[in-house]
Amino acid sequence: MNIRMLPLRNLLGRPFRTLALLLIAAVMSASVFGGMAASASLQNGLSSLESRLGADIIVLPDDAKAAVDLKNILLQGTPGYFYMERSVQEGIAAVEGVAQTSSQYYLVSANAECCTVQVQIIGFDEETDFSVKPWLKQAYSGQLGENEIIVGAALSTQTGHSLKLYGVECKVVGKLEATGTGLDTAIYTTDNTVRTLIRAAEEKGIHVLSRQSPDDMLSSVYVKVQDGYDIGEVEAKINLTLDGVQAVRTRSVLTGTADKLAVISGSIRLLIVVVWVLVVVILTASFSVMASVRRREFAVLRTLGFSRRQLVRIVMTESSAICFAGAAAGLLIAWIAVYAFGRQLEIRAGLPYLLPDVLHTVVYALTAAAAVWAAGMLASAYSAYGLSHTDAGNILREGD
Amino acid sequence: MQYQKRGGRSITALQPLHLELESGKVAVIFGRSGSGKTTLLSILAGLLHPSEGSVRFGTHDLYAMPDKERSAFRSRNIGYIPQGQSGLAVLRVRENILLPASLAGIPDVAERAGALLEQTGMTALQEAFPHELSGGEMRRMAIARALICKPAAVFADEPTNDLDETNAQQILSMLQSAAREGAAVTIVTHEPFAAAYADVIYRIDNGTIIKEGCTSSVQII
Repeated sequence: MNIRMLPLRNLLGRPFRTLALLLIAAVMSASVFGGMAASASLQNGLSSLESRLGADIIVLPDDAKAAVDLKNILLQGTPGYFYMERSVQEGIAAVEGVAQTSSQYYLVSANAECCTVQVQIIGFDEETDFSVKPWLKQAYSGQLGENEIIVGAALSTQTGHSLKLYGVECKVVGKLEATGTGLDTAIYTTDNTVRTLIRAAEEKGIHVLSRQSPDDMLSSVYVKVQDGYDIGEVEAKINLTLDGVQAVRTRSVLTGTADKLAVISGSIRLLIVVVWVLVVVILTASFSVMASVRRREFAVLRTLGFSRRQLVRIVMTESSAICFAGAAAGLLIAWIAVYAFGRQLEIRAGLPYLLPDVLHTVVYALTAAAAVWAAGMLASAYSAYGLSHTDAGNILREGD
Repeated sequence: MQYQKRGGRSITALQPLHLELESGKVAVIFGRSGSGKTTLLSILAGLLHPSEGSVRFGTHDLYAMPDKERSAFRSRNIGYIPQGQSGLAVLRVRENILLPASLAGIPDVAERAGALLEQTGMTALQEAFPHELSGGEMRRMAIARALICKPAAVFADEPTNDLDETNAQQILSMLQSAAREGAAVTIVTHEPFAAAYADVIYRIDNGTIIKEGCTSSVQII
């Protein structure tokens, strides 16, 4: 009989009570860790998207659908396309305060071997691009040739494989890291390749453009504003100067999302605090009830020669064991939930979602475990004190 | 001995007394419920700090020691048999009996535990849990547990309460055997037949203790 094992024997000897307390600890740990991880994932997704857009202003065709489509492409991965005259780019470049422009060409795959659904194809101008290439470098450092593509992290193909798009064999030369956004389901290539694909589509009777030549069209123009110029003013100038286009600040594309994120993050933080307080109250009540039930048991231990400190240690060890085991269970459940339902959140709420890296995940897990442990210690401290200061002789007499 | 009851009411549980208990003898203290028997036993066993005075155990002053030291001293030198059910529910009978030895850090007690189990007739029940025992078996287990460390003093609080006469006689006989092995055994009870096992008899009433045959309160040194 090892007295160090006594707390464990107490826990195992009362499985229902232990299980109930474990469940409480698990709920708390899951809510703290899940909340932190989910909140961080949303923030990461937004930051990743912001950094990938890389432009101050995006110019689109002047219809509401184009703006909605762009947002859906970026955030939800819903494929879309829209076009405007290529000449627009020159007009934009001529606006005062514009430092750099680069066009992008959007197309939706009819059917790709990699995927059960249509995927977004984004073509960029190799010569002028400043928005896509910097982060494409992580997957491919060379120059993209004709019919070469880089795929998003969520597509089930690998570097070195080929994909047939509109009958054109395209070689996968790189695969990007996850961003937690719609960009993960996209294919990146040059605008020339997109034009080739449009022509291939036309040959198959799929009319992407009504009458125009692919060479005369583009989908959007990414604009970098010169230092010293106000982005808002340049945006207004473009809108005033050019007909048939709408210039939108990149940040405004994401403003709604950022606002939504702020609300969600705030709610999550509030939820964490509420759950923590509730758990402390529930655990305190549970330990108090237990203390009352266990007075006789502790009085017996006292008569056997256990010191007050040893009795406190028994209660605190039991509480710690429950908290850590419950925290571990909660962390596992929350991690699965955050991982499994993250994509659903991304799709249904239209929010970017990028899981935190290992280091941050560990930090959140430790924080959650510490929060549960602190709650357990706080809740059991009073009971431990009470149990260790019982009048053993009289308690044992009271019981009969 | 001033004693604060739950609720804050302060009562005088014991009048000033001087009591000496001898090794190898059974002292039986008779008294009605509420006469101060358990309070006296708790004080003697180092469980309840008296409002004044001291309890000396050989050269050791029990209440001059800090709790940690006193608890360690008690675990090695004092066996206490509480009133009523005192089995630790999550431990088997054998583990209950071995627990004080483990606490006191006394090694190689398996043989003694086996002997005590046999002596108390609990060998067949050593793997049972306390809830599987009858009242008499539970009390026998408590006695074996109190004796596992070969304590110099054994205190038994109403050890025969709620037991039939056969079981009660058996329990008292075991305690007498412990005294014959050298322990100072003190039994508080209200059962008259316990007198047959006593070497010394005291009566306690309203916190005043009187030795059988004396007319004044105890003044034995």
